[in-house]
Amino acid sequence: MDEQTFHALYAVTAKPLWAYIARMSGRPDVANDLLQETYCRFLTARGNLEPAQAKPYLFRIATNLVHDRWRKGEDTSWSEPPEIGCERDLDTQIDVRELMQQLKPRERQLLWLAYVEGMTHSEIAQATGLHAMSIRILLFRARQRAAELLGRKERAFHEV
Amino acid sequence: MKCEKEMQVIEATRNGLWTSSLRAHLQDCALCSQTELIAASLQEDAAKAERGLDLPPAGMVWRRAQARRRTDALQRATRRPFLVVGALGAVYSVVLLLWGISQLPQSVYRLLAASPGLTGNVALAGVALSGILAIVGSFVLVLETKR
Repeated sequence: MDEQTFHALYAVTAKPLWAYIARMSGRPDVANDLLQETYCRFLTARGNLEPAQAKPYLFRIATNLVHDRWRKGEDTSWSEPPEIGCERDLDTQIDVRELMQQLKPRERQLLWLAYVEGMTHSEIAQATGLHAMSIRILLFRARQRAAELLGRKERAFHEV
Repeated sequence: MKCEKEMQVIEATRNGLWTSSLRAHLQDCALCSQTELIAASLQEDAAKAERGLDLPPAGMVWRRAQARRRTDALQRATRRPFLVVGALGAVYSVVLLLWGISQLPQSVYRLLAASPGLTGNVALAGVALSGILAIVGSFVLVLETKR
């Protein structure tokens, strides 16, 4: 991959990848480092991939890096501080953040890849290393749990 | 367990292009309305995270990757000679040890067997220990260079 192609790939993938890393790790402060490391590993190992095929592979590397941090105990909890925003935004933000906190890491990951990145099941399988056949059922369970959590929050809001 | 319109719902949530039939479907399908609720929440959160984001410049990341690539290539190039030296060291140690043992005169064996005094034991232990250390050292060298 030449520098120009990389610049184009970076322009398309860097922001979503950063958001994914920040939300999966719960550490926006280390997301920049992990992002750079992701691209470095990509370029040294698979720099010859077509940009279209690169996206799941980049997410796979990022996922592995986040898992490595968990394994080493560098990130033990969800530590992202709440940001300041307008009232409505803050509500949504806290909802999603609470949701993400309560979900298991795998559920978080699957929901993000499917609903934010719009990946197909086979792309999610590529990005997570899971078997393509199990994505459907795992995603279904994750969605049910997320809906239950969001619904519970909504009911609590209406009761107040 | 799965609705065939789920992907369309996700796409519509992402790009905001809702057809009237898809909207109508959303009213009837519990799975898709669940999907829409979660997808919209997550996407809003993602958009917020990406807003005003100060990413490292692509050029910097590219240069860092190139530097890493060069370092890796250099490590690969230097690893092979080290491996050869380590392997040769191990072979040399084993051959030297065997040669040393074969050169000991029969009288020494008899002497050691007949009177295993302190001097004999120390000498034997010394020879064995130096041989073992030479072999272990060579293997450590091989392992280190492999790593």
